[in-house]
Amino acid sequence: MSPRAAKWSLWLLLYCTAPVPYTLGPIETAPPLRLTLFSTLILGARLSEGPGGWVWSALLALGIAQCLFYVAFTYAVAIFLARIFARMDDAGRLRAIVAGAIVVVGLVSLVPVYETPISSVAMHSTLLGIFH
Amino acid sequence: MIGRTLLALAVAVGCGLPAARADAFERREKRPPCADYTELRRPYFGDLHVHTRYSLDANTQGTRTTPAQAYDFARGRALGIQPWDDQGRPARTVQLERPLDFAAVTDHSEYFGEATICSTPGMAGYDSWMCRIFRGWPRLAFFLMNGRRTPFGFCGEDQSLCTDADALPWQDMRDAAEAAYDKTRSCEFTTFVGYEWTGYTHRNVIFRSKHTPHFAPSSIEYPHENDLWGALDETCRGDVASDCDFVVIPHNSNVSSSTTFHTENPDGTPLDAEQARRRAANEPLVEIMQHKGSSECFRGAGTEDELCDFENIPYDDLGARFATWMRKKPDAVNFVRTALGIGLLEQGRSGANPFHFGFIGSTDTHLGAPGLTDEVGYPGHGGAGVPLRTELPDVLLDPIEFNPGGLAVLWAEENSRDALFAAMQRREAYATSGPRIRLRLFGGWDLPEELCNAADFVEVGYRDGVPMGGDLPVAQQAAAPTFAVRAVKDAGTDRSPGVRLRRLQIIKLWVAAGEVRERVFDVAGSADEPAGVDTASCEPSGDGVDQLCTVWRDPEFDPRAAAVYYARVLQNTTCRWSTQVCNAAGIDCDRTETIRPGWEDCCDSTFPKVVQERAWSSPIWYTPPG
Repeated sequence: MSPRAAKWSLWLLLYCTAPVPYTLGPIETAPPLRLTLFSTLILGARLSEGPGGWVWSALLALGIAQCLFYVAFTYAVAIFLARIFARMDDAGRLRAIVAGAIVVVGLVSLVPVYETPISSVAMHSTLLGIFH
Repeated sequence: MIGRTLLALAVAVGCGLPAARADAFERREKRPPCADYTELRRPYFGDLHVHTRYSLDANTQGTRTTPAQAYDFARGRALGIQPWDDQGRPARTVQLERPLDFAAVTDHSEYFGEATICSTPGMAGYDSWMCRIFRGWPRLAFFLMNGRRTPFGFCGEDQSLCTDADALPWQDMRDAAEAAYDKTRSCEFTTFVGYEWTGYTHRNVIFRSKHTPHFAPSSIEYPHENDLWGALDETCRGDVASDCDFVVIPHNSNVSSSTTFHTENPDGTPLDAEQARRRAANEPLVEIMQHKGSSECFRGAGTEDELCDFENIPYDDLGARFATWMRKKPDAVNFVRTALGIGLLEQGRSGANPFHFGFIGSTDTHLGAPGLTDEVGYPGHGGAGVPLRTELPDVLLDPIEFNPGGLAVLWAEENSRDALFAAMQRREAYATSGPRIRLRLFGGWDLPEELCNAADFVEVGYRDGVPMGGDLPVAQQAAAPTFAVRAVKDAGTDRSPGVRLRRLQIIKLWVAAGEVRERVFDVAGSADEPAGVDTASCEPSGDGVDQLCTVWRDPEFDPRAAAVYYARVLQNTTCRWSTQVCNAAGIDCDRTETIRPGWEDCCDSTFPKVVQERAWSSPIWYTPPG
C-alpha cells in the first residue's frame, strides 16, 4: 500500500468509525458518516419540500458546516497517522492498516460506543446501529 | 309548564328535599340521567391529555394505539405497546388496575394530514422525500416536521392534499369518543372530543359534546391563543344550532420559556379587562401536573417553599430537552402559583383576573394509555422520551426528569358529559400526581369549627360557603374567611394498597403594597419529616393517617387585600419510578460495575429516589369590596 493510499484509507476509516461530537438539535457522538447521511436527507427534503423556516435552514447549515469541518479534521488526523506508517514498507503498511481497521471496525461493531439520541431505536449504538 | 313546575316544587318541599342549587349543571344531552346522580357531587377520576398514533411525536416513536384502543384501555382493557416485532406483536402490555371515569384523546392537530399521508400507502404524497424520511428515519422526521412552520411541498400547491387528509384522523377521534361514551344509566365511562393545539405554548381543547368544528384549528393556521379562541368561537360557539362549546386547558407552563402566563398582547399593550375576562372564561383550568413535570412552583424561582421540590424539570424550555446547551433555570412566571399572584395584581390593575383558573392533572401519555400513573412498572412515556420502535434497549426508558404524570378529578353530580363539563367550567376540579386521593375544599365566612365531625360536611359546605374554584361572596363584616378542607387517602387495590396521608396545607397568596406575598400554612397532619421508605426494597415504614380534615381560619386576613387560597395534601413518601426501574435493572450506585451505559442517570444525585405524591385543590379567591 502506497503512502497516499494509506492516507486515504485511514481517512475513510476515521470518517466511517470515529465517534465525534456534533449537533443537529440533539448532540450525538457518532461517525461523521452519520452526520453526512443526516445532512443529505435534510438537503433532499429541503429541495423537494421547499423552504422550511429558520429551523430547517439552521439544521441544514449546521449539518453542512460540521460535515466540512469533520472532513478537514479527519483528513488532518489521517495525514498525521499516515506519517507514522510512512517508515514501514508497502507490505508492512498494508498489514498494519488492515489489522488496525479490523480491530477498530470489530470493536465499534460489537460495543455501543456511539451516543445516538436521534436514533429510532436506542440512545447508544454500534456501527451497524447508527444506520437504524 | 307552570303546573309541572309547581308540582315539582310541591313534591320537593313535601319530601323535604333541598331545592336544586344555583350552580347545578344544565342538561343538554338527550340521554337518560345517571342512576348514581347525587346533588352532593362525587369525585370522578380521569385523564384529559392523551396522545395516540395520530400525534406526530407519538407516531414517530412507535406508538400504534388508536383512539378507540386508548378509550378501551381507560376502561380497563389491556393494551399492547411498542416495541413491535416483524409480525406486529407488541413486546409489552399495560393495563390499569382501576378503570378511569372519563378520558379525552387529545392528539396534536398540527400535521394530522401530513402524518396520515406519510403512513397511508397509495395516498398522493406517500412517496415524497419527506414521507420517506418519516418512515425510514422517524426520529429525524420528528425534529424536521416539528421544526417546520411552513407548508410541505407534498401537500400540494394549495395544501389541499393535507387539508383533506386532516379530516381522517379528526373524524376517527370524534367517532371513537362517541362510541366509547357510556350513555346508559350506569354511566360508567365518559369521553370528550378534544385535541392539542401545540404552538409557542401548549393547550388542550375539550369540547362539551359530540358537536365540534369540522376541523381542529391548529397553531399553524392560528399561531396565538387569541387566534385559537377566535377560531373556536367562530366554528364552535358561533354555530348556535349545534350546542357546541369548549374549554381550553394550558399545560406545561413549567417548560414554556415564560410564555404561558403573559399579561400583554402581541403588540405589547397590556390586557384590558375584556381580554382578561375572555381568557378566564375560555381557560377555566390549567394542567398543573403531568408527565413532563409539575407546574405548581419551583424553589428558588419566586418561592422558598421546600415542598416545591417535586417533579421539577430543571430547564425552562421543552426544546432544551434536546438542545441541551439552551438549558437555563426556569423563571418564576413559568409556574401556576406565580400566575395566581399575577392574576391578583391584574385584577387590581384592569379590573379583571385573567388567571382565574382551577387545577387538573393528566398524563400526557404518548402511548395512548390514559391514567397510567403508577410509579411501579412505569413503561416510559413514548413521546419526548426514548424512542422504541423495534427493540427494547437496555437503558432507562424515560429521561430521569420525567414522571408517569397525574390525574384530573372533577366534582360532579354524575358521570355524564354535561355534568363533568359543568364541573370544568366552574373549576370544581383538582389535580393529583397519580394517586386517587379525595380532596374537598370549601371556603366561607363562618364555616363551623366542628364541621369535620359533622355528617353534613358537604351540605353545610355548599350552603354556607363555596367549593374549590369559587369566589368568596362579599363579606358583610371584616371577619376572616374560614376554609373546610378534607382529604382521604387513596383506597388503592389489593395489589397496590393506598399510601397514607402525611400533611395538609393551605397556600395563600395576597397583595400587599402592590406586591404579591405568599405563605404556606400547615393546617393538619404532621409537618415533621414524612414516614420513610427503604429505597433498596421500596418497603414503606412509619405512620400516617387515612384522613385529614380541618376548619382553618386565616390568621393574617386583611379585608383590603385581594387573596387566593388553595389546598395541598401530601402522602407519605414512596419509591420514585426511576428507583423502581433502576432497582429492577440491578443498578447499585455503590458498585460502579453495575452501572451499564444508558443507566447512568439512576445514580444522578440531582434527582430524588423517593417521591411524595400529592393533590392540589383548585383555588378559592377573595376580592375586596369596591
